[in-house]
Amino acid sequence: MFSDPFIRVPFKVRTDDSGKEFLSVQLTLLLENATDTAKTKYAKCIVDSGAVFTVFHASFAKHLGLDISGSEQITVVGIGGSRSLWLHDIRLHLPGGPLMARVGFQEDLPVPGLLGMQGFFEHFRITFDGANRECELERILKS
Amino acid sequence: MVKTMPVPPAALYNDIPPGFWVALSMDEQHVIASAKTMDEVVSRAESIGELEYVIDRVPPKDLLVL
Repeated sequence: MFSDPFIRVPFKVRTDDSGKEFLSVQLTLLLENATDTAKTKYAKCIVDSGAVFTVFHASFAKHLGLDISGSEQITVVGIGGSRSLWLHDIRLHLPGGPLMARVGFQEDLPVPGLLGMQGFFEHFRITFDGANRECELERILKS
Repeated sequence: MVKTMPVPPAALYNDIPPGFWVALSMDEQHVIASAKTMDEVVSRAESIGELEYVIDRVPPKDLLVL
């Protein structure tokens, strides 16, 4: 599922009661506890170029068996106000292969995950094709 | 060859309340379980023998990620 370094992701189209469309790009990733590889979870995440960090709902930390109570905690300020993130290293299975990434976990995240600059965009060339309503991702594989 | 990722059918979440957590089949075409919390949805999916599933969440009606 994650071995291909080139993938195409159709835009997700959500329609409200009035018929107005809202577009997003969502990608399924495998999250893995790097010290206990039996503990994994697949998460459907939003590709978010405005996010500095890659962030997952804090419940994923619990189900991956991660103790984030002693992890580095930072406060980030976004459009919706300030939030606390606990930073932890996990193995992310991205298109093109797995890598170690320092990601954030947030208690009240309203979605399973946000794929941001650190931990995600830095590893890809990404084209958002609005005309065809799809996104192409090409993994930057370092030799 | 460029691989195209699956997209869940638009109507898949029509009967699930906004904000609920969902366990999807690996082809993302079927809902295995849904619940108010992620803990509950994991418990429900695994109680029926599902070991691999994709965790998603039905977006709240007013959710727009900026």
